[in-house]
Amino acid sequence: MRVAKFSLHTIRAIFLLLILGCPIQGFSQELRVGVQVGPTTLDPHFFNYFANIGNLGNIYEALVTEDREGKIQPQLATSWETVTPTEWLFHLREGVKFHNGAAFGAQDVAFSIARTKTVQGSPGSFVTFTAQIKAVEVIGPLTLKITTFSPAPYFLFDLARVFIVSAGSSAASTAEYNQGTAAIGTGPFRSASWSQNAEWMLQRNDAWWGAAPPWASVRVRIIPNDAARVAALLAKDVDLIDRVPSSDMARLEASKQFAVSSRPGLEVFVLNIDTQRETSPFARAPTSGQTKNPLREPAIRRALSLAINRKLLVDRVFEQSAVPAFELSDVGDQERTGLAPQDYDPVQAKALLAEGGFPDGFELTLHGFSGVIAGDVQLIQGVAQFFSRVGVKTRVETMPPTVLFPGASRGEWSIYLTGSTTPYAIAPYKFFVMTPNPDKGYGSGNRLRFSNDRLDDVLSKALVTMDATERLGLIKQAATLVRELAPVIPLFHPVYSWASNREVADYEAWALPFTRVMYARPTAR
Amino acid sequence: MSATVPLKEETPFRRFVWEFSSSSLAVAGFLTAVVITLMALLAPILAPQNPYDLVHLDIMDGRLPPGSESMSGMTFWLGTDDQGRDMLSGIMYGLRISLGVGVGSAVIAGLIGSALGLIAAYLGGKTETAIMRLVDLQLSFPSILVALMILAFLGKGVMNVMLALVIVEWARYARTARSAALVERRREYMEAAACLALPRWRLLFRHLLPNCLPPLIVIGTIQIARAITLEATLSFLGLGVPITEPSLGLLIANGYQYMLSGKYWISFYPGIALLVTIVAINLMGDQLRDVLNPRLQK
Amino acid sequence: MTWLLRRLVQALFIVLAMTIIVFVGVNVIGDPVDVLIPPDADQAERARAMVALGLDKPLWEQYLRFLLGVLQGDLGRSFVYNEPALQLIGSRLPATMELAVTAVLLSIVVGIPLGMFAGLKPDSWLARAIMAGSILGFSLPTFWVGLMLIMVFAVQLGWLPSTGRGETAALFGVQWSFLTRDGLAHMILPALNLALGNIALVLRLTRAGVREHLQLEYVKFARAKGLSPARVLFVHVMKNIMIPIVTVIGLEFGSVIAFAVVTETVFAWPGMGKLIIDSINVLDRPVIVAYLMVIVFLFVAINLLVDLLYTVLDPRVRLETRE
Repeated sequence: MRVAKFSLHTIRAIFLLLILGCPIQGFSQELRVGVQVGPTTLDPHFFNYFANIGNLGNIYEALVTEDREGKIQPQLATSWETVTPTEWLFHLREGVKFHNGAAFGAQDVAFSIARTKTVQGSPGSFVTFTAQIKAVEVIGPLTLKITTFSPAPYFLFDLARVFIVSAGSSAASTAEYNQGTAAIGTGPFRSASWSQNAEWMLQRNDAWWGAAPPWASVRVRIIPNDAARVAALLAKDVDLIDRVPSSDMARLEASKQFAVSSRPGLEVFVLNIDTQRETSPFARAPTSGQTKNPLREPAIRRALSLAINRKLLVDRVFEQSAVPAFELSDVGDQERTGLAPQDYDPVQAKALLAEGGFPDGFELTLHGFSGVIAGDVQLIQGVAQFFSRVGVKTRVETMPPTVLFPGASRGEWSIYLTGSTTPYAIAPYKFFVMTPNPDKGYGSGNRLRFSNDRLDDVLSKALVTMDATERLGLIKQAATLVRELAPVIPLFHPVYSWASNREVADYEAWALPFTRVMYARPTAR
Repeated sequence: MSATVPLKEETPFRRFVWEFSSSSLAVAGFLTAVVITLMALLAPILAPQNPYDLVHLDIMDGRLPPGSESMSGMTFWLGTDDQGRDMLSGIMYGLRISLGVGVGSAVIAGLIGSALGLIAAYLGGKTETAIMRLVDLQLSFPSILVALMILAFLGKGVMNVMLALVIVEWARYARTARSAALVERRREYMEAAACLALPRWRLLFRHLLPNCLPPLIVIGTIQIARAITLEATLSFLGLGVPITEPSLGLLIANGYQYMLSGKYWISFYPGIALLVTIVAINLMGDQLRDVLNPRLQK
Repeated sequence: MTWLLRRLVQALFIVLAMTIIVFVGVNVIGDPVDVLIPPDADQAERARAMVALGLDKPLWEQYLRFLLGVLQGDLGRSFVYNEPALQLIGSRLPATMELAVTAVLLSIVVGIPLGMFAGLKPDSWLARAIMAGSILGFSLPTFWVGLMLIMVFAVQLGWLPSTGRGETAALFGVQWSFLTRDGLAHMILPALNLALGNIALVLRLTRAGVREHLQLEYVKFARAKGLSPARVLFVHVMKNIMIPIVTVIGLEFGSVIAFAVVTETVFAWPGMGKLIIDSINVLDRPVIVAYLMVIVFLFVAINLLVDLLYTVLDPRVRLETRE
């Protein structure tokens, strides 16, 4: 197998040498990557899932993209301006070609935006990112005007998620994308072969518009098990892995053979609370007959938030692999509220429990997930310890996310652990605490249906405020309200880590969980 | 019993004790089992910590090696797990669950299985064929598979594990009870009892059962050890007890991920406790078989 | 021939009985809607699927549909992988098979020589040590032994890899570990772990057989005839004790596959045992049903095969069954 493949590469490389008549940098260089989660589809508009966006970003491109700090950078659009608060003019990059040789132009963008709304059977739709688009107008071959229904300060973050495919492929179905025949983008790599949950082969796109990618081919292996992924790196079966578990960080960092790079991720993990129902299945007073849901009281929820020593918990459980979250978005280079962190205060927590009518605490079961990030099971038990200490008798149950989240949507739990990416400061607010509204994409993660008019007002206003200062003021108001009402309890932001074999490559960590192989730098041999 | 009774007087019980203690290994097994049972029963008094009460755990004490001291000055002789749970206390409480589940399921399975076995032997005919076919079918599949099947249908949980163990085990008792009963049935006392026209149930449970007990006790002992192993295995696979109330199997499973980084004690000591328990019970079982059931001896 | 036919009918009956048990397990004890429809489906989709899957039909009709599906090899699609469940099991089968076969080979290669030694020199200290070890082999929980193997050989000594299948190579279009050096290295610990119970079993059987046969007339006769002790042992005794050993090993093969569930979990071996545990955890019930059906079928097939072999090997059995 290996031998056969190698010779095939060699032949292909020689062939290319002859055709192009120029030396190829890094002759026949292959990068072997081990990732925790692979793409679930090669259709860029089928399933809005971080692993799809992360992986498919290697073969597709969007108008704009996020850099490793999470800031917006030009990609297929070189510049843009807002004509009015709802009208955006984009100037597209010249000389871009799709992997099949077709030229890229404004009509492809228009087609791709339209396609997000027509893809059938999507488990998670990309309409979230395009719903606010009222009209797309092709002004010239490389000029495009997009009109939104209302002012959209975070519009570019949404556009960064809409990968552009060729208008010529209009007939292609998701199945054809998955077979690879239609998986044609403009990115630095093209998909050579894909077997789901196993392996994804990428070939360099030699016609790419940017500086030539340093790898002739990339073999992406999907290794979900943390220990197995690390083992593969240690055994030099792969050159680069993502999501380095905290338990192996120290060992890898200490070794001369391997390089580790970390950056706090634009993602927040929170406890989502049943604030609405009269009685809740897993929260009740210890005395029988009392069925009232203690979690309806904001004071009780605040008490729970104050009962957690986040810094200590995160240090113990994750070591270097997470930072405490005191707000939904206090990480990275985002808009910061500047509110003083409201930290661990067990005395105040007990006082609040009494204020909420449960001076002797109550009984609670936390539902957490397992297998999402290393340490998740330990973390939720640690939270339970802190709750127990202020008098809330807490038990823990953990399950895979595929069981946890549908259960949460059916209202089967009282408090559960959940997470969200936070590409911009207001995203987790929109996701967790706004009253669910599928048409507008509000409250998609608000599974226990918390609803507060004031918070909704402030947030929906912030979402259409173009003026940065004014918007920051609104975000601050929202953050203060969330602190008061505590419908969710922020816990931590994960730190994303990559580890690589120094002999082969370096990879500087991203604030998003994306392994963009283009940016893996070959080390001099 | 008074002290004036001459030591040489032989009662069946004394003979049993004497024969049993002829093997020093079996006596050691017995004593170990007694100590373990006491440890499990008295865990709330003996254990330095209540490992199931999260108030007493401190995550700051997590993953400490054996012999370390806690923030509050307590010594963790066997170290702590990732939640700061004292392993010694965790093992004692874990033994409670393991023994409870093991003995409980063995007793229930024993009652059901023996009753069915006796009924099969006594009634014969179609009933016997039906029961024994079921027994054969059950025994032709490995215990872990049957348990997995039941847990797959019913979901996880301690009660479901118990149920799975009962379903896995009853067949062995049924087979043993039947074969013992078939032998006993032909004895004179049974014929005599039958002649007296005693009611059937009385014959079955007052006369037949007591005489079939020795082989059932032997099987029971071995089955307890098997049940404990199976419970631990299921918990290790994550199908058993809740994570905040770990049994031995789950304690071992929790330590698994830390083993590669050299924190061996989280998995190692609960494993030793499990091992000692099983070996002790098996040693007892071996000797019991020799003493109680000369027919099985070979 | 009638005997063979009877066994076949019996086997068929067991498979049929198991389909009923599995069907009842999934449809009566569990909620069939939860079983057959992905958990994140909305109300309308559930109602539509109920009708499409025939869940509004009476139970016996549903069972017939299920049986028809089984016959056509259609056991539903995995919720998680969105692949036909049977295909998924099939893709994991080779990994489990190579592990199980290696474990069985190991138990023969290790168990028989040790057992013969223990049978020949029952009073030597080595034989006693072997027998004591075999008790441990029976009573040690598989998963804990697996952990200890990893701790000693992978963590402390660093001789062998701890988890995974290692590098694989293709043969007949299937990826195998035993074809590469790396794959073999990955296989040693899990195979040993899986073999442990069977090594003890084979060892004890061999020992008992050797001891029994050494006292029999034909051995005494052969010795008196002046045959070398080695020839007596390896030719005459072996021939006679192999029959029960082969039978037991054959019957145990099914158990080995079932217990691979534990070993595969410990060593992250991507076989179908690991798949079933993951599936139980994520409630991927079509996969669970498919696994159970595959295992039951394997079991019945193995038992049947062993029975047949036994009859061929041992003329006495053949005679008995003819009567």
